[in-house]
Amino acid sequence: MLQNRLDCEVLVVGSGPGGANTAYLLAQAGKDVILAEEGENLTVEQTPAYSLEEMKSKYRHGGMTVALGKPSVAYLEGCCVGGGSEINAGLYHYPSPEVLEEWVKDFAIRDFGFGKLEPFFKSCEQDISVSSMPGQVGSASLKLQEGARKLNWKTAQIPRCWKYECLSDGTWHSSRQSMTETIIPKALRHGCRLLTRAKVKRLCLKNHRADHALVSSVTKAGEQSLTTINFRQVFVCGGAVQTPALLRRSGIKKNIGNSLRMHPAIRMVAKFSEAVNEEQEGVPVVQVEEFKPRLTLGGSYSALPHLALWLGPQRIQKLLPVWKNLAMFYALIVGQGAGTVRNIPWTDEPWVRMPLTRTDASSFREGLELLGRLLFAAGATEIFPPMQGLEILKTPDDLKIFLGNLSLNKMDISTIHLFSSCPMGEKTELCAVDSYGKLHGFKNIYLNDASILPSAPRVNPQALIMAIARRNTAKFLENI
Amino acid sequence: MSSSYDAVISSLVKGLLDDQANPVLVEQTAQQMRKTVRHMPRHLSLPIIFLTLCFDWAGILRGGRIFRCQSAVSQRAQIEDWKKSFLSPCRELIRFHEKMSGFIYYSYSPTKN
Repeated sequence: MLQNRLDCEVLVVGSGPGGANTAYLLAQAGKDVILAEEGENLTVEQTPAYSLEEMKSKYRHGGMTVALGKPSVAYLEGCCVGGGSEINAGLYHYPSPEVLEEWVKDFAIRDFGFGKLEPFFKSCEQDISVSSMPGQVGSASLKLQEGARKLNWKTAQIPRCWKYECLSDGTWHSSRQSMTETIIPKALRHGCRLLTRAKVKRLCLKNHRADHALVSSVTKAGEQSLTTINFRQVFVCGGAVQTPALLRRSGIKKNIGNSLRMHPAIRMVAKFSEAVNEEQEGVPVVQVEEFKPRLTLGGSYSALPHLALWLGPQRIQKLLPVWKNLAMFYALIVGQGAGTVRNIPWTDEPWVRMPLTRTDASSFREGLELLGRLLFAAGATEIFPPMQGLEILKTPDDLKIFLGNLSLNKMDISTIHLFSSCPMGEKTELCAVDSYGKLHGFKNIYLNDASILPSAPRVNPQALIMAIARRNTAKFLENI
Repeated sequence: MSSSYDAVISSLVKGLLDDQANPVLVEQTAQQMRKTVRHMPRHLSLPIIFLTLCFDWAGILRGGRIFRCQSAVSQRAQIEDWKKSFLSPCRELIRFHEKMSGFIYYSYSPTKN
C-alpha cells in the first residue's frame, strides 16, 4: 500500500453544503485548505436525476442505508463531491424564527437567531441562485393546489437552489445549483485542494488536539493508499451520520451520536382520471402550508421506476397503460424520537438506530389522513397506501377504514433529512460543540454540518446548514 | 455459497416480476440486485444473504425441493407464503426484493419513455 503525506493549514472533511461553504470561505480568506471527500467528483449532468445510475454513483451504499428500529427508516446520504446537494430536491426554506429562538433557550446558543443568520442566508443566495419556477407549475403541483383550494388550506410554491434559463424557442432550461456547480468551483479558484475518493478513517489526537488525519484512498484501478494529513485545524462536515461516526472512531464520544433527529416521510400514490405525471416537472415545488411546521404535505418525484419501487412490480405492470395518471405524494413529520449513531467494531460502518415514538405514530396517522383527504379533494380516483398487502382506497370511507387498521410497523418510511447528532450550544451536558461549532474540550476540532443543528429545523435544512456553516466559519476567521 | 445465492436471486427476481417481463431485463435486474445487496453495509447485507439462502432451503419443507429448483407456480406460491408470513424478517425480505426488483426493472425498461 502506498503511503503519502500532505500538509495544510485547515482540513475540511466532507464536501456537502456544510463542508463546501466552509472550505470556500476559508480558501477565500487565504487559508491553505484541503477538502477531503470520500466519494467521486461527478457533475450534475453526468447522471440523470433520481435514476438508478445516480443512486449507484452518488448515494452512499447505492442508497441502501437504513436506520434500524420498529419500523426501520430508509435514509439517503450523498457520497460524492457536493454531498446531499447533488441528490436532493434543492428546496430552499428559511427556518422559522421561533424555532431558532427555542434553540437559543434550550441549548444556550450565543449570538444566534434569525436576524443574526439573515446576512448569511443572503450571501448563500447570491452564490447559488435560489429561484422560483417561472411560468405555471407542473400537473402534480396543480393537483396539490386544487385539493388544498377545495379544502380551504394554504399552499405555497417553494423556491429552489435551481437556475432557470429561457431558451430562444421560449422553453425553459433548468439546472440544479448543487455544490459542484456553485460553491466548490469558487473554493478551488481560491486555491482549495480537493481530494476525492479519500475516506478519513480517523483523527489522531494529542493533548486535546487533533494532530493529523489518516485517510485511505482507492483509485479507480483499485490501488489503495494511506495518506497522513497534517493540519492546524480540522472541520468535520461529513453530515449527521458520518460526522459522529468519524469522531467516535477517533475516540471522541461525549454527546456524539446520541441525539440524531430526522424528518421521516410516508408516501401515497394517487391515480387521477387524467395525466398528472410530467417528467420535466421533477420534484413538485408546491407544498401545503396549512399544517407547517409540524406536518408538511407535498409531491415526490414520480418517474416509472419510483412508482414501481413504491407499488411493487406486479401492481405497476397492471397500471402501465395509465401510469402517466399516477403521481406520488408525501406527508413529512417532525420526528420526536432521538436516534443513535455508533460504530460497528472492526468496521468503518456506522450502526444507526432510530426509534419512532407514539407521537410519531399519531403524526403519521394525521399526515396520512390529511394527505388522503387532499388527494381525494384533488380528484384522485384511487389511492395506493404505503403498507404491505392493503387494498386500494377508492373513497374517503376506505381511507377511514385504512386509518383504523393502521400499523406503523408495516409502513414504508424514509427520509433524506437527518441532523442533530452532535448538537451545538453552551450546555455542555447536552451539546457536543459550542455556539460556533468548536468541539467542547478540544482546541482545534470544529463541526460544521447538519450534525450540529440542535434539533429538527422542521423545514428542509439545506439553507440553514449553509448559513450556519458560513456564520461559524466567519467567527473562526475572526478569532484566528 | 456465492453461486447458490446468485441462483436464488435470479429465481426470486423472476418470480417477483410479471410473467410478461422481458427475460433479458429480468436477468439484468437480478444482476443489479446482487450488486445492490453486496454494496450495502455489511450489517445489512449479511443478514439479507443469509435469509435469502434460508428462503431457498425453506422450499424443501414446503415442496420437497429448494426454491430455485421448483416450478414457476410453486415459486410464486412460496413467495406469497413468505410475503404473508407472521415472521416480519420473512415478510421484509420479500418486500425488499419486490420493491428493488420493480425499481431496477423499470430503470432498464424502455417503457418508462
